[in-house]
Amino acid sequence: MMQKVNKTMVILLVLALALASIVHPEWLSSKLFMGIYLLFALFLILSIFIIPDIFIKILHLLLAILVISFVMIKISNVRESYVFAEGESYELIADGDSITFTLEDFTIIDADNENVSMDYVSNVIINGKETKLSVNHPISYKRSRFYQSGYKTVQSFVFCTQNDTVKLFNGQSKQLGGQIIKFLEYDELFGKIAVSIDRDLHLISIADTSQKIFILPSEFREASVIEYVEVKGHGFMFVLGIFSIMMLIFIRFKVL
Amino acid sequence: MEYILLLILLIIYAVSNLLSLFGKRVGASALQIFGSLIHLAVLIIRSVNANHPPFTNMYETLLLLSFLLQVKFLIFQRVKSELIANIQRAIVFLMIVVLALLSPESRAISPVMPALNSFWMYIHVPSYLFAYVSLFSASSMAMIHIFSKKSIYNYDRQMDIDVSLTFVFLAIGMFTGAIWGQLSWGNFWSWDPKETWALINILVLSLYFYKVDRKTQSWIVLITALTVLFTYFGVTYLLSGLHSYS
Repeated sequence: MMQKVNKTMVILLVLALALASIVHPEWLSSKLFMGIYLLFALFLILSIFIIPDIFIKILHLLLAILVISFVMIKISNVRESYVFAEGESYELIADGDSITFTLEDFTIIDADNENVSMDYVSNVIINGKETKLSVNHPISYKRSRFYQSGYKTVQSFVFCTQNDTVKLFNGQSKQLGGQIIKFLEYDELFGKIAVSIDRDLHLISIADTSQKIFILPSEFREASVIEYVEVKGHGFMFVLGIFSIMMLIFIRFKVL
Repeated sequence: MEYILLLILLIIYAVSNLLSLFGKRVGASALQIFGSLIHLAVLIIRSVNANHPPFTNMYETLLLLSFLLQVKFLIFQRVKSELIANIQRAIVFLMIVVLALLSPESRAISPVMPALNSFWMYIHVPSYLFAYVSLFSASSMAMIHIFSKKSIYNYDRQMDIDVSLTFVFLAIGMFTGAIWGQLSWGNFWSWDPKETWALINILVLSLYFYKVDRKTQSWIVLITALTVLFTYFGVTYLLSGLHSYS
């Protein structure tokens, strides 16, 4: 009886997962599905007390731990994505500390004779210390990590007053005619740029001569996309390790 | 050169299948062994040309998978039942047909992309390939349990072992994949379609270990083979996600 209910539960979960992954993959990490996974895990744990077969008991325990750890990872991880142009600097909060994160330079390493990139390398300065960041080689800062996830093409703009000119990428700030100007955001749809001039917010259209500041689009450039993650799911690796090892041992006893 | 060899391989396996259909066992086996040598040659040529092991895209992994399957059928599991051997030959033949039908773009050699350029690739990909090999081997027996009246109950133990191996390698693949994901994306598990389907495979196959009769177990193996096929082809071509290159 219990085994029948179990099988039905597994089949239902599989159907739900399959359907969601085809129709709308975002659902898989939604709150509703997190609830479904937890319910499933709870059911597996309850069934451990009822089913007499020791092998099935352990199988259920492992599957329950597996599903719970997936949910824990999703809930506990904090992720943030930053786009850095060369020379750009951000004040970030990493693991509770405020740090200065500067991208000194960014290189795309191409394969020999091929038009395909092999690696993305960012030379970054964290609190005055220089380090290299590349794909598959994250930087740790306390319990948090920075990942090189790829690159993005960004556009710079030239900001002119009557007697001064500066070129800015998104997020940069410089002196312009005695004032500090910061490029906040570019709205592609309306062709407008949000800037702060001496801490006052202004929305200025591109190539609009009636404004005090005249803006012209300038060059495109590759900017490094760096991901910040606060890792809290270290236990998961442990759990999966146990999962594989237990499987090996148990199957050894069961059939081999 | 590589493609011509692949077409020759296709013809050899086709003839081997035809011979076995007409009951000429010796000829079929001889051609199977000769074909596997050419199969190995194709693999080596590909690896040398591409300058990396054949793990990086659909074409390369399928080429390796079909070769490993053939080796398992030929060496590790010399099947005395001609019925099972026929099905096994047909499975490898079908894989070669799919390989020959793949578009030239997907057959083209491309350098390893940044995220794949890691030590974990050498554990993650082969462990899944081993899992698939064991699963297809088990499903060759499952098919007879379901579709044929002939009894092959003396192969039950072989099927159990194959399914267990599948389970173990699926678990190892998931484990190493999680570590690699943590290294390159900052996430052990991100509910990406491929990852979800890997979990589905494990869940479906876990039903095998309940106390059920052989026929139900065979159906479970076959259904897992189908979900694995969807993970392998369907997710790659239909659904997009982090694993979009394989």
